Amino acid sequence: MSSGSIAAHDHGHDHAHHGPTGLARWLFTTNHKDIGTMYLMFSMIMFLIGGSLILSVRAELFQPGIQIVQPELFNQLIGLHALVMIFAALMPAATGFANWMLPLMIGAPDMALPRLNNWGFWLLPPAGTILLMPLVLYFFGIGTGGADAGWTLYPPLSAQSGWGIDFAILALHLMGISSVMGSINVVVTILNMRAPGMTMMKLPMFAWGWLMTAFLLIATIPVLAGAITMLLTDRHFDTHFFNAAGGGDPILFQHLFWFFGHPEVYILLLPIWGFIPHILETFARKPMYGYKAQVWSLVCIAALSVIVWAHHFFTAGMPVQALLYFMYSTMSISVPLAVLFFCWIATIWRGSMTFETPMLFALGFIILFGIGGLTGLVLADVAADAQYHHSYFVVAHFHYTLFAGGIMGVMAGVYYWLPKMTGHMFNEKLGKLHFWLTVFSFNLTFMPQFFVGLAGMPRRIPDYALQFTEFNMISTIGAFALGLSQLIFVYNVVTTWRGKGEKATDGVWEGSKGLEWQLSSPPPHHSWDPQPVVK
Amino acid sequence: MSQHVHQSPVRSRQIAVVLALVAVAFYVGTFFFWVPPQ
Amino acid sequence: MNRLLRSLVAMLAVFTPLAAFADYTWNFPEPATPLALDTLNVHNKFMLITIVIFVVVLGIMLYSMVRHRKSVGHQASDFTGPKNRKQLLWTLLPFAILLYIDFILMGIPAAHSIFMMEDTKTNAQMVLKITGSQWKWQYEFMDGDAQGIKFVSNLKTPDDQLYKGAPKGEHYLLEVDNELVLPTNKKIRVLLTATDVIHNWWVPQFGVARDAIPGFLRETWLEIDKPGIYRGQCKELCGRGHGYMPVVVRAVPEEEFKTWVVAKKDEQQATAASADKVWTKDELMAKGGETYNKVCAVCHQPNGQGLPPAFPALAGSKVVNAAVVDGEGHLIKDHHLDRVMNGKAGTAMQAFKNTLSDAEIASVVTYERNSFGNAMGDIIQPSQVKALR
Repeated sequence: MSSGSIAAHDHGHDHAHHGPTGLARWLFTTNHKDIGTMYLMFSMIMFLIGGSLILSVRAELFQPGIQIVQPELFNQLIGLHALVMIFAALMPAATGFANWMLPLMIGAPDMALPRLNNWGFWLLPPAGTILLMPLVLYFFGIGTGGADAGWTLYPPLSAQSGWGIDFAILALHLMGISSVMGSINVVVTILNMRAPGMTMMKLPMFAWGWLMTAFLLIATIPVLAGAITMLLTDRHFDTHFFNAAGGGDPILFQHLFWFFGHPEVYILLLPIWGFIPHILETFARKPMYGYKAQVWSLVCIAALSVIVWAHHFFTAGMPVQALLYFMYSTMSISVPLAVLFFCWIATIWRGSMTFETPMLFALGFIILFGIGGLTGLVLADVAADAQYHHSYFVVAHFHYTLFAGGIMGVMAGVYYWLPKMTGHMFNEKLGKLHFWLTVFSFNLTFMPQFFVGLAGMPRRIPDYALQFTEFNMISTIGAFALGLSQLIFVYNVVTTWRGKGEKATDGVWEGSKGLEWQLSSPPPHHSWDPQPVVK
Repeated sequence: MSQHVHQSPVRSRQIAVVLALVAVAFYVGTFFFWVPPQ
Repeated sequence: MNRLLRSLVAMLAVFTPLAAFADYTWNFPEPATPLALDTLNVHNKFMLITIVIFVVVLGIMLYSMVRHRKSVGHQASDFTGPKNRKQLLWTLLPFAILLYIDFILMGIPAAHSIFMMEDTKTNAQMVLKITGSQWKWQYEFMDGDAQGIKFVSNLKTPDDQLYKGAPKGEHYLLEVDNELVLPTNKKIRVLLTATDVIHNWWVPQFGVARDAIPGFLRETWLEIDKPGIYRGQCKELCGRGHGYMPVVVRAVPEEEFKTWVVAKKDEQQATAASADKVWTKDELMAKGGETYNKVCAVCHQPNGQGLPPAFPALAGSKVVNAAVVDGEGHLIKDHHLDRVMNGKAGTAMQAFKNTLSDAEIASVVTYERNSFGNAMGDIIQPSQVKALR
């Protein structure tokens, strides 16, 4: 693994930072640390916005009957919540970590394509604005509101809906281009910019995770882009790609969307599966178990993810052979995923663990993401899926994988690297409090949703039959607790960033390994120039 | 940045162009999945 | 020790909420078809397996978190892989078990379930066609004694319960004006389609859910084991009324079904006959108001103000306040009667000639032309609508 010695000591070119300051600095920066910071800040802001959207939904679902959110607005809120969380919170957070940490970890002075990096970030704030603008205008009585056909935008409903869909399509194109540009940058950086002596099999696991993510994005974002282009032309230019009356097929959209959509969920998780082993080996003070096995698992998962898409729409009707194929291929993903779990647990086994906040989040991630993954296995059963599909059982499943997996994973990364990035230790007591409140309220929110789904409650409905009341009330209370708990996190991150907390050492954590921990905290504005030599 | 970087910037751009072409190929290829009505 | 105890208590607190719910439902509702029973058994078996896996793995993790910690002085080991052949085999064992669970223990029954679910035609004794529209289900019997019975099933929960906080009935959101009546113990082949967007017909106790896709036919099947009333909902987001198009099936023994068929056919003939008689303005306004509130108010609002721009106002509308037929008695395109009968392509305004009767169309158009401040004064007869189909 890549803890190498350095041939030439990095002087740190930070003695006087030449270059623009203020707004111009941030607009024109090509520095991976600055760009990483912007991605992470954008992500945190959008996370809070996405959370607010869904708290309105949960407030409405507290009791049967329509009290505060009319059905039209409800449909906008749920679709935009998902689009914001996936494209504007989770993906930018992962990209922020890639930008900040990949060059530091592989001993490179910056990303391979720094200007492309800047463009990749600056597409995002306009895209986020475009996505949400119709919703904001709707509150002022202008227009038909934001995209209200779910984040999955299925036609014919999306072909029929108001111009919120067009804005969402444009926003998705912009965010997609940003992701592809960022992915190209990641691949080139990892292939071309490693410090001398860092072979591929010495790459930090986080780099492997992002390498797989980048390949998936380059292949599948264009397919989403194609599908939503076809939707746009169906809406405005009289094409009939998805309109049966014109000879088209609405299910074609589902195939194309999910060809992107399934890899997308692994895109959201692969970077995290990449850095969780780093956190585990640090706090267990023990080298990560099964490096090669984990690398091959990441490759297998990425490859398999591209050939299982139809399990998202088993009830749309397809030949028996297709049902069998997609069921078995989906289930086979459990094998490399089990390899990852095995290696994570084998890493901590017989270690010497301490439980600082990053470790709490990493361990919580393993346990709760495990629940999400296991319920995914159950969902693969085609016949039973008729009952689970589009019920709250699925909603609970993907929140265990994407919140407990994605968001809590990101939080583990934030706590792990925040002292390195800022030069200050965060408030450990608040970190632990944030962890326990999050875990408790997360389970309070989503565990009942498994049961209400089994009991027969469909998803995406603004109102429900009386027998679903109790679980919905509990879920809403949990959701508000969960939302409020995140304010502790925001406070901790912001105050640490602004200089509160004791100064951090280079290594920060006792068991930390990797080139990034050989630099100062924070590292100089330009680091690893010249590159270290890795043994 | 300094010239001590391990591999050349030309190679960076070459890899980037190939990947961009792959992305474009997937975009164009998506449209070919639409089967025109008989 | 104190800190450990506190941590364990905190972890337990995570799962404590569940213990308090003694009489909440934890599983599928009682199955009423062979498919539902099979799914319930499969689900129970699979959930048990996954829970066992989870508990075992969690146990190993918790053990490690307690014993292999710095604060109790445990020294870190440094192994990164199996050291010898024996260790390698022990490492591979969990994956062998997983492969067995996935592809044999779960996989083989899962395949059988698929074959059972997809076999819609063997021994099928009747065919039912279900059509989803925004936001109602239409049922049509395609063969046998019931052939020709065709009707629409709308949500019947009143507006004041939905929107104004009135006390809710027992079957809030799961009650309809026309229930689907089906015979028990007969294999029914179900064909599904839709008129506008994708819907999904789901009755949890039947274990059946299938998309209804416009322009396509999908199939599934039902064989209801025992009489009863079974309720379900649309399961594919289909617009603002998605949560408001329930399914209610009343399953009855064969004899009772035959009786219902006769009564329903009589009712349909009466409706058709009413199209031929001449209606008075009062009759049209009364039926029109009833139809409007049931079918149109959801978008155009009870006061006819609509929700522009998505749902235009009918009050003062140019479409409403104009002639409906031209000099030769043909429908004027995009005018009021044409709009109601034929819908507006690319919007949620559907072709109501497919789901409303002549009397309903004639009366609702009459009602709209003479309400909300509109005062066209004219009336439309059901016979006119019938002639214009």
